[in-house]
Amino acid sequence: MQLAPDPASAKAGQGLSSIRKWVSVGCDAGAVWGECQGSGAKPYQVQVELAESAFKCSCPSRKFPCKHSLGLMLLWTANEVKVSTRPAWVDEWLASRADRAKKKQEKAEEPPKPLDAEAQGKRRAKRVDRVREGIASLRIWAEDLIRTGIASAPSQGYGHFDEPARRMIDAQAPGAARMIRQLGSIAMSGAGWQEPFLRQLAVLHLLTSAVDQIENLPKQIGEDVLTVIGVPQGQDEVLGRAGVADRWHVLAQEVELEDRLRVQRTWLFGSTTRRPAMVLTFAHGTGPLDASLQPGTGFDGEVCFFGDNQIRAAVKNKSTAVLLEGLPGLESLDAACAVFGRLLTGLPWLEEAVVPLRAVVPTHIGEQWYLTDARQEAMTLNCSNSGGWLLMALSGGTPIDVAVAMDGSRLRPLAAMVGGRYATLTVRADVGG
Amino acid sequence: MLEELVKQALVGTGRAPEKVTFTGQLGQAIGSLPAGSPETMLLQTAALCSAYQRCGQKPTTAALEANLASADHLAESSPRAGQIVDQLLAAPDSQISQHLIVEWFQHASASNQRVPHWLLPRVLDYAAGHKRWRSVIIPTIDVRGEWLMKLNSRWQFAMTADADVDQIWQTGNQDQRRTAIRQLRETDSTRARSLIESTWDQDAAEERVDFIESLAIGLGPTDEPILEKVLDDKSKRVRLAAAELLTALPQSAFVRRMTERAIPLLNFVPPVAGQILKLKRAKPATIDVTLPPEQFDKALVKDGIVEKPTENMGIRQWWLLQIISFVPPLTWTMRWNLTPEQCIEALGEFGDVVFRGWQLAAKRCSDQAWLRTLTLAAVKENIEKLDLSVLNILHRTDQLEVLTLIAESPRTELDALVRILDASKCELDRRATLAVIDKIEYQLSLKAAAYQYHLAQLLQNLALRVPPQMHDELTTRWADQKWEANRKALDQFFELLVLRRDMKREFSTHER
Repeated sequence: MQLAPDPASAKAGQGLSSIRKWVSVGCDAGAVWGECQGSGAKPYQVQVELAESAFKCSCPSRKFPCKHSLGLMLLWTANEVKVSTRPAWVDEWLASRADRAKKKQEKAEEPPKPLDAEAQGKRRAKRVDRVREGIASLRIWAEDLIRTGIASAPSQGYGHFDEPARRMIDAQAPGAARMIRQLGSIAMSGAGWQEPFLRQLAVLHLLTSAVDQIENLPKQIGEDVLTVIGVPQGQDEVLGRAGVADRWHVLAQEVELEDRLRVQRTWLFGSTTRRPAMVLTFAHGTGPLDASLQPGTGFDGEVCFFGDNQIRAAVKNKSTAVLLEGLPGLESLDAACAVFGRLLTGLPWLEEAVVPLRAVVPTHIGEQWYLTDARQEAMTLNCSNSGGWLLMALSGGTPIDVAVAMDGSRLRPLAAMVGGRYATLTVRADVGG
Repeated sequence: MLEELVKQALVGTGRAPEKVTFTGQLGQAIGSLPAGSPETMLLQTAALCSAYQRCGQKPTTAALEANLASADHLAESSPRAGQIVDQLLAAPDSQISQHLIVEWFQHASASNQRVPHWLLPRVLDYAAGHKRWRSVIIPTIDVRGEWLMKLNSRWQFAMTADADVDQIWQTGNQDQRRTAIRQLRETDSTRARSLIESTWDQDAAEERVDFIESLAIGLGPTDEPILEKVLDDKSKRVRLAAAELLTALPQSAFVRRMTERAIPLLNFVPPVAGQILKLKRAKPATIDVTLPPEQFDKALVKDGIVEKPTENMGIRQWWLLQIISFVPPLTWTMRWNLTPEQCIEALGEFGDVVFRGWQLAAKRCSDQAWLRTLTLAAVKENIEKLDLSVLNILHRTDQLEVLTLIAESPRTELDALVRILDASKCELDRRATLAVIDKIEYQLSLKAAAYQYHLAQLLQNLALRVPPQMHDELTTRWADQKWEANRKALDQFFELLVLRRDMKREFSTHER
């Protein structure tokens, strides 16, 4: 049920987990299929490939997996689907899948096509020029803000920040646009907004200076700057580099809505390299999000970073995922601070990095929550009261492994591993209030 | 260290172009920044400070007092069971969601399983907001849940049991006192009674009614003095509440007085056999009714009897009804040496009034034999005579028999069935379910093309009450019924039923 794209789908899937709704169902070792009577005249053909949790349904829903697929999976897990022979339409689909997989494999084995480096370079250079113009105006905007004073920022509303953010989108610098919007949110966040606001504005300003002098920067740092601004290298180019091989743990996954785009951040951690990585994927509207990395699993494979100092990465190759039994994380909060500090030195624009912490205990004073490690050192948590109580319920006062997002001041708990079981901590609000 | 910079930024460098100085390593780094406008300098300095702080963040030392929860006693419910209740708890609060949630916890208790830890905060929140379901929920939260409750003041609702009842009694609000006295009645009925007496003169009539009603818990002969005393209360409602409880104490002086008044009013005349020569025709047994004297006896007021009828009936019949209703029905079966059936059969003139009196009396004494017979008789004769509030006092088997009988009767209209099923609260068994199902199918065969409001209501009620394992059977049975206009109601019915089936299955297949 964790595959459900939203609660409504989960509920609808539950409604379809009755054999009554199905014209026919069947399964074998590799797949489950069924025909579900929907509102149309013809039943929808629903099929699930078990090995890779791939879904296909002939319904027009743009949710993925759709409620029919979820209902079918529930039926199957309840052992209500009898083993039978595959109908032709299932065979066709599986064959086409195998075909595609083979092609992909072949393509992967083929030597990469010589990129038209020159044309690509030109295109990118053109884009960088346009970004530079936009960024220059951002610099003026930031300095104006400081000259007249930031005291009035909260009273000016989101609109005040939307306008420059839109200009950054037009200038093809979505990364900068996002940072401006965050600045707006900070201004509206209530008491204590001033210091974080100045920090964020300073970081933005630093970015504009870096863009301004991008030719004078070492090439690698220049690339980092462009990635932060939202002009990353092409995925293919990144994947063409040497990857970092490790046993990678998928610590957590977060989905954020930016305009009509859903942005999925998957946080990885290398168990020997102790390096955090973040894989970004996007989906428009209600389209499917990439489901190849499931939190609470691990894989052996290579991950390519967008830059030596970057945490943004892409997965080059991976073994079959295995369920994690623990998060072999950093042994102390101090070690976590050191890891984060090192990352920040290389990339001052870094907002957050996710690291696993071993054996920490949640505590609270009023509604302020803390994590304490085995060395009796503590750090403040950035979580709702309900999030704190959830940690408390899971821990029962005993040390647990927790994956946290660090931002240089507080820790945001994302997931916990208790008794060999993975639990996500991003809860609905309003609990324990 | 950013504070000074923030101050400057707030007013703007245009107005306060002061320079902030830093010392140490940070000061050196700032000193090496290329010169620029005051704005640039401020922002650059802030960026450096911020990075300096963020890079150098360190945890603080904290002495942690260990507070460990011990191991749970129960087995954890299955992951799927957890998902189900998670979804239910997140759904908008409604009677249906409450019913399903309670059912989940009942399954969990019955199969000795506990709430998964990750769900505890949600479950405790739910218990905090739904007082009436706490007793069902608390047994499933196990050690970890109790441990959490102690830590969060919002969840400390269960602690009242341990708190000082005397204190609550003196300072608590009506609700707290009400709960406290009922809890105390379960464990120490004498002490509860003396608490009620201790503040009797100060309590409002509404509270007094409430406290008298609480005496029904563990009612015994020792409660007679206070009840007898309360018969003199100023409030009519308090007097009635006391009289009702006294009726359930067969040895009480109150019952003796009422019986003395009632005996002359009802006279059993045995049957007369017909004689062979047919000089006399056979006469069945009858109960002759003598109405109470026309002059109202003022002593009756003291015993909870109301002089003026509150409904449309003769004044002396009204008194008769009330007197009978305060006499334990066992009196009649003993006195005439008859079964309740025989008594009812012998009713003649004013039979309806006596019947109602008996119904009330049987209810007050929880006399199951009488209740059962009266209810069945009412159903057979005329459903309108049935006192719906009696249904839930009946034992489940009797209740089911009554419901089956009602559903099977061709005279029962759908709307009456809806009303009766709504009033009764017990889970249906297979037989009662099938009887209701037959009724539904008959109704469908009459007019399948029309949307039927009562049918939708009935299905919704049924979805929460039929044995969930009947899901598959009903699916097959209703596969080719003519539902047409009522398709939506049917879909909702199965949606609920399938959830209940899954829930039950989750607990029974994972039984440990």
